[in-house]
Amino acid sequence: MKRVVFTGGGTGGHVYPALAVAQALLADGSWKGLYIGTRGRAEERILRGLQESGQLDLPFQSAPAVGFPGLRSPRLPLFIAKLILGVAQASLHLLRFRPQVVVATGGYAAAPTVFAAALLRKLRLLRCGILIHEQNASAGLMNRMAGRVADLVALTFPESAGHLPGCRTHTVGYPVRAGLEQLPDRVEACRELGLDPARPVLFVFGGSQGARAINRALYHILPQLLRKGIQVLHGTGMSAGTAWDATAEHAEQLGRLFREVPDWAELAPLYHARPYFDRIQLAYGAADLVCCRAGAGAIFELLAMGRPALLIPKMGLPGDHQTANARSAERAGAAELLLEEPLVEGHGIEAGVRPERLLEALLALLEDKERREGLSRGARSGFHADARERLGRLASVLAIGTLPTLDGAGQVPAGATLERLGTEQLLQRLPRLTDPHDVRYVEYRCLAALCSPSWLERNAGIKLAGRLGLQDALPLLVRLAEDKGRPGLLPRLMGERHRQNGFIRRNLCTALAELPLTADSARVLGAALKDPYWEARVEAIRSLGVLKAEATETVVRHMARFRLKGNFEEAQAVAWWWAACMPAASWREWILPLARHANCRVREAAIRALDLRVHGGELPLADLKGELDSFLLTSTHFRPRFPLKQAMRDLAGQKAEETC
Amino acid sequence: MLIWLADLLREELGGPGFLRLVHYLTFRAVMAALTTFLVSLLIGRRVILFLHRKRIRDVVEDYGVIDVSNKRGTPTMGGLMMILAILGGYLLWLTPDSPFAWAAVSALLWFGGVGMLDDWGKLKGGSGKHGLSQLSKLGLQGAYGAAFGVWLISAASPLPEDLRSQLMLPFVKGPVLDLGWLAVPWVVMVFLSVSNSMNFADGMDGLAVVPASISFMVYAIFAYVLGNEVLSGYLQFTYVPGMGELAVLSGAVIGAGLGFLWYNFFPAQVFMGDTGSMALGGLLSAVMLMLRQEVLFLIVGGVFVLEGASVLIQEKIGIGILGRRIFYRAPIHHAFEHRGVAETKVVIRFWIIALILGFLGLLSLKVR
Repeated sequence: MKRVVFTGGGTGGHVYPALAVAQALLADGSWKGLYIGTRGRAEERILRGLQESGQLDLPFQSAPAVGFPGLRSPRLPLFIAKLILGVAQASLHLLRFRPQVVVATGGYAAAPTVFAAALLRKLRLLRCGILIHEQNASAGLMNRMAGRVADLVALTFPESAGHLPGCRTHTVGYPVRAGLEQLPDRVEACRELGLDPARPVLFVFGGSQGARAINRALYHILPQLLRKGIQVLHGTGMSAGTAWDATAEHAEQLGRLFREVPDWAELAPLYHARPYFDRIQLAYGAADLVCCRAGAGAIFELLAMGRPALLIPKMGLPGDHQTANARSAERAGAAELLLEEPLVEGHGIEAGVRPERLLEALLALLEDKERREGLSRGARSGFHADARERLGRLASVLAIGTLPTLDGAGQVPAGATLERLGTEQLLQRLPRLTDPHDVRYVEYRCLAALCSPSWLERNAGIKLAGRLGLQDALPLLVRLAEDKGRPGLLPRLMGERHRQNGFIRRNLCTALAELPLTADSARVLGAALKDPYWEARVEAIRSLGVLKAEATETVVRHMARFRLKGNFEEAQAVAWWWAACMPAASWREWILPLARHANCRVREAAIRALDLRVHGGELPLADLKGELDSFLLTSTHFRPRFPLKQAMRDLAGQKAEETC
Repeated sequence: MLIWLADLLREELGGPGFLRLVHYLTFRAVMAALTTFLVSLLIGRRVILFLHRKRIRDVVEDYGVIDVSNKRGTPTMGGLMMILAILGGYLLWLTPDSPFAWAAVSALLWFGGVGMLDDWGKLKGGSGKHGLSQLSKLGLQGAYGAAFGVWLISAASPLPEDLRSQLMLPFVKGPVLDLGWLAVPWVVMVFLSVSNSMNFADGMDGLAVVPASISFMVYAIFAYVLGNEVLSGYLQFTYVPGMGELAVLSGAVIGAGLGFLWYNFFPAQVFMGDTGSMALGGLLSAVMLMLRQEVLFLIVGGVFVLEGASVLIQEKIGIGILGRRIFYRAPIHHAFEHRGVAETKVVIRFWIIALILGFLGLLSLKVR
């Protein structure tokens, strides 16, 4: 009899794939299994349930574990203590059970068992294979660490290989529970759900808890959808927490539709809402199009059945894993992707879907049968439902102490690891991105960063918005610029008045220059001329010049003050602004007074500004001739030139040309 | 070591009487300076070529984008040259049984070592900015500082008991405050602030080494006075026998500094790197702590105080708390450069300031 230990958990998403493999392995009685997880978490509840109902003979043992709190967290010592304790306890379980193979499905609950197995193996106390399964396209922290000690990391999406450097990887797919992969007949399914098989069916759901953003957008566009004769099957979700009560909101929205939509009585029969579907296969089978979140398990089930889907990944998850999953499916041509964006709601900003964009995306797919069939084909060819058996086979091979020979990891697409990068790193990567899908993803991250509570993220988001020239970001930028909130206590004591700090205000002004001029941005830049931080004022002056914004009376008044009383950066910027925005004839008034400015860089800027006008043909050189003499040309600034380096550059430059 | 040799020759073998010169502090100080200067000149070119060969350069040069107007790719870690010269020259002229001498040498080696680790980390990290992490750097410096502080106030200290943990202020006669065991954290703080501000100052050719030499010059005079019974009595300092040894050491540092400047002033053929700046900073802290004149550094090392304070204010208060710049750039010499003052001009202006501040510091010998 061969013995296998399963581990993984913390959340249900990590438990179900382990159970699916367990079903496959334990079915024929040649394997004996044990599950090691954390007490009091999802895995214990699920396993106890299964064992009591006699569906699966998999005993449960516990080893303590907590999620990684971060390197600087005060809870780090507790984490380390628990990890050591967990490894010790897991070692005892492993030594008593003596498995030939350990199958881990990620989540922090798997950490003690995997590390204990690796340790015992190193100490030659136990001979066992270690197999890890990664569900998401963007690998979790636990699997990135444990992957290095495992024999093999099995992947759901080929993209994960990019997140797991130094690990042996092999793509197998997501182990779907037995009995789910069979898709019921559409007509049958429609009949059971009380739908008309002759009309198109759209199935919208956001997981068992429901997704507020998807629901809200759907309520808005329901009348339009229903009027087109589309039947909408809606899984509203069962969330009843304090943050959001799905059922209450559903009732409220129905009331609103009833009051506000005159033909609601005719439309209502086409709308079928339920909090939850016991047999979700029925809904999949009936649907012509599914619109849902992008958790790995859900979309893999869906795609393995060849259902065309519109995926709306949740914003701001660790490693942005839902988006990574959805982008993987999109790359395989198996699903379409609709990215969330930050929406202004009252005083706050919340991630959500704009109803008109959802409507547009849904109708485009519902009205285009060929596109849907293309997605189905892509899904069927790219996503296989036999991951369970494949993982079972891999476990069997590892159990006899050999490493399976596998085709090497496929080529990972260049944009596959973008999800793991921070906003600042995206900024550096941006020039190398060519795929429009990747650029669109960066735009999405830019918008998300603009709403981040961390100022470093917001700052990077602002720079990104400027670099991308992202017009959608303009409302958020204006919102940031006009944020009237109070700064933290310490900055306030030091005289800071704005909630957004100086760097953010400065970079905002810089970014606005990259976007087309609007009334909003002109207003923001005008206000920034009064900013207490000089760098923000300087960038505002410069941006007004770049955008060639209209020189209103107030702007001119400010500029005149900067030219005479500002610091040297302001005077310099005013010279550039003058070259872009003021009539050339005003040079005597604006530029000539700078001729003997104390700072040589200001004098240089003044001369360059005149040069621009002269060579632009706006100012005849003859006019200037008499006054050029008044410029003080003594400079404290110079750049050296090293002929030796020049010679090497000439040489190296030639070389580069030859190789081209 | 020469002091032993000369005594041996004179007393045992009847050598000529002028060998007694080695007992004169001024003679040894000047000779130490000359020796280290000559050693620097002699080994300078070799060290530079060695550093270049080992690819110990400011930034690994990418031949695609050679900038003809800056000094990127210049060999760094040239502090090695200074450390070697100081060791070579000073070991010749020190009094081998002086605790002051060996304490100073240990500071030079320890801080030079920390700087070397930091430089090495930066090189290994490629274009990365980080050598040692801030914490480990401060930890290594602080560990030495703590040991030094304990030594200074312990029974093993060469200082007279009424000086050990006393705080002395310039322009004030006699100690103002007995720090007691608090002298240890105080010593740690002096080591940290001086060696790091020296490190910040080392951002332009010759900017650190000349003001440092001027500070050593001032402290050499203090050491001479404190170690001389007549002069210390006249100027009303506590006489510390053997303190004159530090004047010899300072002489050696000045010689090595000038020798290094030979190669380092604009445009530099070699940079001192953290190796040099930390070694100088550590050594200077040790010297002034043994002289009990560390507060005088606020005047004598005003340039370094300015550099260190500007970085501290910009990084911690500006960027850390307010999220904005307070100076155009920090360290402060970059602010001047940003305003359009060329590097050479900034450097020589800083030298002038350092010299003036040195004179002010000397004033505190008499005006108390």
